[in-house]
Amino acid sequence: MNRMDQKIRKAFENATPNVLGSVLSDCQPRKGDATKMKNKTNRKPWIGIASTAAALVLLVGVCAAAAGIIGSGFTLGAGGATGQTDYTWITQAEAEEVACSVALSLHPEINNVAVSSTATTEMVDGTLVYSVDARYAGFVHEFKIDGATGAVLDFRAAPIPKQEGDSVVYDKDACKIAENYVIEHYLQSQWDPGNREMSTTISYQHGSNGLEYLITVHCYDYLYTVRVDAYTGEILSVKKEQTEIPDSTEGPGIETSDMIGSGKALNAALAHARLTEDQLTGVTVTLWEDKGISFYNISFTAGTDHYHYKIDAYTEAVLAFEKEPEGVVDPDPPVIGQIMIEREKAVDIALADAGYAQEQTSDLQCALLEEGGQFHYCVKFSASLYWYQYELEPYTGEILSRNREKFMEDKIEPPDGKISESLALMFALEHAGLKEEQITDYSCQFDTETGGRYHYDIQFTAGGYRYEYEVHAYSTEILKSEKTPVG
Amino acid sequence: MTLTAVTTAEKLDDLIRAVAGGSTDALAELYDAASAAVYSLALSILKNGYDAEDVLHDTFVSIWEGAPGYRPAGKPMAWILTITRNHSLKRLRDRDRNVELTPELSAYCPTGSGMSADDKLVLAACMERLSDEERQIVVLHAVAGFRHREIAGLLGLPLSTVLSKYHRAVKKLRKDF
Repeated sequence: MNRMDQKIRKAFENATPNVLGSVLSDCQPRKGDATKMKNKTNRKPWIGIASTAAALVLLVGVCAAAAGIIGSGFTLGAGGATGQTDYTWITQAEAEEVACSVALSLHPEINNVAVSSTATTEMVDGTLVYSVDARYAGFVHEFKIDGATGAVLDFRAAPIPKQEGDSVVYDKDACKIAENYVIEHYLQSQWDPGNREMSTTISYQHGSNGLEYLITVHCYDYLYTVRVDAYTGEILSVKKEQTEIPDSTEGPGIETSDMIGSGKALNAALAHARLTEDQLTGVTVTLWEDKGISFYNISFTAGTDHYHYKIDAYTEAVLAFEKEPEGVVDPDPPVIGQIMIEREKAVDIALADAGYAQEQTSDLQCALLEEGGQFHYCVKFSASLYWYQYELEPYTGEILSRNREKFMEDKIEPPDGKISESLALMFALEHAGLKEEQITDYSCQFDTETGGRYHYDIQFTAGGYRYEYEVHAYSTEILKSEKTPVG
Repeated sequence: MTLTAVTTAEKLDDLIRAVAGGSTDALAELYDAASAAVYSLALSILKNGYDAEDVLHDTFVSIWEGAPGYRPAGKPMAWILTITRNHSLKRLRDRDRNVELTPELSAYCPTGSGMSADDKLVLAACMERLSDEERQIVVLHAVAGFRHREIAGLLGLPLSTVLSKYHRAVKKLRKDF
């Protein structure tokens, strides 16, 4: 445990009050021992455990709703799989009540709408499990309820089919579709699949063809908003936005107890290189951290080859590697242990070469690409009437190639042809499914902060929600949309 | 006593089994071992010491009531903290959302008389500088001794997210410590 963890632990321990006395006074004395109690067949265990579990069911549902998640699936730990065959079971009506409560909690904005439900039962490993379908808010919510405790064992949601027999896509599957799309189209060349930092949230909206899932995938410095047809699973649109670029975080890492340690990291590199330790010379292993990712930077020489590895500090995965034959003449060889320049630095170099400041450019992209085992940064942007593309050596920042192409005329943004504020508002309202008379606290501002793109920042309140939009001032594209409960 | 390496899952399982059998001594011992983790998690979710104290109480009463149904699976702390988390979420939901919580330090540690000035600063930094998820992750790691993989399981987050948030949190706190 590191020093910071120790300080945190000490502070929280010292803050903990002693309520043992009141706990003991509120605990009803038990009669007999645990074995006798389990044999009491007239006891409804779900009542005892449901003081926790049944409440938990509702709460986790509320939590999911609060996070804007329709149903990412969850399982309760406490009493959720007790499987007490000598207990009496909860009734079907009680199982349906639990399911409907959770379904209702997922859509707090909708009132006075009845929930219809149906339930079937099955025995799983000696435990009665209710399968409950709760139909509500255009969705069918499918629950597995533990017959012993009333706990929700599993949960998923899908739109009610337009016609019987029509296909639908479950929320969990829609998330996978969106994540796979992002991985395939945007991330393939960046990192090993097992080490991508990705978080996904799901909500839904009514589109022109019915319900759509609106899925946001946050990965590294980008937020991908993916619309997925809830009936066919088709990707309807994808928007990529750069999120806040954190301050430079690169630097030596701090070893924690969860990390694999330098020995294991070296072994992972050796296994990848198919070498043994006695073949190596000049071994250096340093723990490094960049943008929240901790990795071991490993360099060594074997025979006539130099090797450079980045090994994930937690999973032993090979994040990057290079092998350089010693005989190859390198005009500016990387120093052993040197790490790649940051993306921001690569961007700066490319922009300086092109003679533009970042705010004069648009559609700026920078990716670390691998080709034949060699890495390079690829920086693309548009400025004035041109598209620029640069390739940079990732350790030294040397420009390996540069390319400039003139825009097609129809892609040039007219200097004075932007849409009006009211038209931008109209597009935002159309997206939100609202009318102008329904909104309050409206504000609108024209700016170019998002990647140099001209857009309107629009905010308003309606139906207990605060809406925030960015509408492109020329293409009318919705660049960003957010809906959050007021307060 | 707090959770240490010697307070193994096996030991906690034994205590819960004894609680199921009606032993208040075992409950007291379990309280001694787990109360800091329970209170810390509750405080990290609720950001209010009074509410966290209530959750601490309710959690151990629930443990007393639920112990006969507990089946040892090698993760007694996960069971205890699942109960804590759900009591905290219930309280969060029941709380009048129109009432603005005071951000004053006294709200975090109303009964923390044993706290040093340094402890209070650490607590305030955790409460004010970290997001809700970051705070829960840090507390589960530092106080409950959970590994990141266990935290991911408890909070229902991908491991990569937990790792990323933990390191962001550490970076934020490093400025204050």
